[in-house]
Amino acid sequence: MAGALDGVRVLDLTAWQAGPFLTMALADFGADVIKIEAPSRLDGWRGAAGMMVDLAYEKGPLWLTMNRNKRGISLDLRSAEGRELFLRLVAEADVVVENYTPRVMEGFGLGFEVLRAANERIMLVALSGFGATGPWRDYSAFAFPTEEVSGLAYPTGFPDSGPMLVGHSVTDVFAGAMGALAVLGALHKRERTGQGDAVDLSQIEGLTTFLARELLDAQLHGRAPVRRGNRRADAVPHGVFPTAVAGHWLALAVRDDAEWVRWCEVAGRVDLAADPTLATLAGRTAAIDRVEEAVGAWSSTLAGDDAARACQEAGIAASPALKPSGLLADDQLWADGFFVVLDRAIVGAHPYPGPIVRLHDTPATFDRPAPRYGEHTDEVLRELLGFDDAALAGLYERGITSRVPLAQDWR
Amino acid sequence: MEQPRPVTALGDVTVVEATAGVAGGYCGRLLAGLGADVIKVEPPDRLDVARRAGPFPEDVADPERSAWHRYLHAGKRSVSFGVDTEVFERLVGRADVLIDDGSLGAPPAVRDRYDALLADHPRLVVVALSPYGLAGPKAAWASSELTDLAAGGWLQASAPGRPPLMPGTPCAHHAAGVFAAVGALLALRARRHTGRGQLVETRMNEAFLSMLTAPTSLYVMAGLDGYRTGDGYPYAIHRCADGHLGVSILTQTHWTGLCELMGTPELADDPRFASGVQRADPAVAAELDARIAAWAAEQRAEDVFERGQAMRVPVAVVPAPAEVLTSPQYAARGYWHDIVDPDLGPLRLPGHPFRFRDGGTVDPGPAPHRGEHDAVFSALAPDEEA
Repeated sequence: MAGALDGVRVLDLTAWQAGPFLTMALADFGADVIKIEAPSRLDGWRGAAGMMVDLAYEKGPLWLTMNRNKRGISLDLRSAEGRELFLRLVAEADVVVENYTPRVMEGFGLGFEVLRAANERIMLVALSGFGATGPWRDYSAFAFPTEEVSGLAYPTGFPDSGPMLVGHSVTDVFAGAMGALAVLGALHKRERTGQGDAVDLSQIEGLTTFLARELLDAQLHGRAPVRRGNRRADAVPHGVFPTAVAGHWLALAVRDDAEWVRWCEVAGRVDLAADPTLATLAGRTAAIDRVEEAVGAWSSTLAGDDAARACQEAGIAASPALKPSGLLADDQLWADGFFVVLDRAIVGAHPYPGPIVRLHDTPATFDRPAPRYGEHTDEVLRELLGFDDAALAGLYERGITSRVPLAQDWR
Repeated sequence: MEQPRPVTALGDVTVVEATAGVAGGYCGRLLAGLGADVIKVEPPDRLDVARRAGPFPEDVADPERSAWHRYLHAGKRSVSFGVDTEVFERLVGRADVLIDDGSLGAPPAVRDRYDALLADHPRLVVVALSPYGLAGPKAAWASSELTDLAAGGWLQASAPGRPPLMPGTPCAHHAAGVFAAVGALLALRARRHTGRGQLVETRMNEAFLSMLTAPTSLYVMAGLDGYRTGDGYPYAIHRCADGHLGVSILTQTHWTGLCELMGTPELADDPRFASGVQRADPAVAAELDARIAAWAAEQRAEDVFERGQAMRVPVAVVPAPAEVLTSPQYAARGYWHDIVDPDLGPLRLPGHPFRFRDGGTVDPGPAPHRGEHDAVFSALAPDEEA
């Protein structure tokens, strides 16, 4: 069956993570995503340090994950000829996605009005750190600064720490997913209006919606969030506990008093089950150090998988804190084929995480691994703009496009 | 030429939201913000998380007086029927999308209910949220936010001397709600080609792992089994004179700019710190961390943020929620949706995550009382519009 986005063409000017995640979500479901990189300015996500050494720019694991299912072309938008070719591609496209700071597209002479003049049905999604307007519009950001500025970092941490980061560049992904929603919302709207539109997505604004509860608590009570590590007020014990294997942990959430009694049975601690001071949430909260010590003493004797399974058999929420090796061996993730094995030139066959959502009748398809640099320049220009051999040769000669990236290193 | 009147993006879409968790409620909220008619199904035995968690005035729990509910369910309509009633079936029969996170039953058995709904209503899109999916060895496992994080790889590594740490906000479940909303719109798009709805699944273990784009590929291709970043150079939060300051150095330009900002431009010329590869050496990174921490301790956060950003160094403030509410950037862009709630007084709610130039999102109306729209829908004859 056809993909959900068959017939949708996306010109992808994005780099690093947020924008490429957005276009990955579209490409997985059948959109024709054409990723554009300049001959002398590659996507930094290819591996910032030492990118040009030994074809490293073709081998970056993070880049390969994010750019599957896309076609890749090389085109210099700063040249008049490259810009004109881009606008001819816009005429053949549905969506343009970019994640520059707002001044950059204007600098290319590729503001929305110019794109709309080339194609009145075009939709532009701009995914900037702080938005296209306002005093911070030209500030730069990526995952960690947006996590910090949006307010998301403040509540994370231990009682004796300051704010801590989540530990992965997830806010890029959050913003990218919101951008994908914006594209789909705009496509839906276009069915009724017949008109393109421009989307202004401020990454911090998107992230701040996740902070709604804390924002409202500040308004009602003037309170700032308390950093609680892995503890939560409505469940004790609730945390991450050591297992018999160093560096492997068990996550356990005992959500009510009945579960507490069952956990005591699982752990063989009838003494604790019989202790009236621990029978209620209030009692366990008052004795939280003793409760957590008991859980740790039990979990330290077991493998995380076994401890989790024992809890689950008693209906208690528990899971091993899976590491990559555990994720790649997880029978649940493999049960329905979450990982996808893609065989890519230069790096070979590897499993990659699958789609961000499952559609049962029009599922994600994985037709191609991430493109080699400029792999589809000729194909795209022939197919969409009718170029022939001579015209292509001229482009390469004039440096509008390139078969290999020109020296560059982000370090 | 006459300007076309702004059209909401999803003004022709009806959604039935049978959810009680963050992901499903936020999914519905996003669709409501795009103009969809979202009807929340709230039977008495399955109270929504925002109604349970508050915050409440005077900290007195009351499902009708939760401030978070005012945000998460703004613009939705509410019915208090159970999911086994005839009126629920009629509601679903008129809907384009049904979102469920366990109201209709638990995996694996709930799959039969979904299949029956899809058979009865061929154009319906069913968005099913579950911890582990509808089938497989862990499908029936109990879960919580914490265990979802563990199963999705978020707790795979820890800061030095600490256990793995869960985020202080339910950000992962919110993001799963975004994924689910993407799934709903993908399925509506597919329906244009196929004429049929389908089952869409957001499985927390898969969704959460999808959010971590680095660890599995770094393990497979570089052998790194357990990855966490953000506790020290190049990415860290430091204490400063009046709060905290984020210092994140991704590119060489950021590094040379930081040296300038710190008033020690000569560091940029030090051969030991010349490249990102050299600075990634743990001993070198620790030395840089100490230098940055000592400098940050003397700085005021907003001042460094402004000066650093002017030099294109992505240093960042780390505001508490109250400071986010007064940030000049959000205000200048008209981000906030300020309301006066009859029970709670004035409230400042977050706006939609993105905006269309020609319109398409809405500032949704008030959040409903539970069952506020029962009469509208219970009076509904089988084929009548509400």
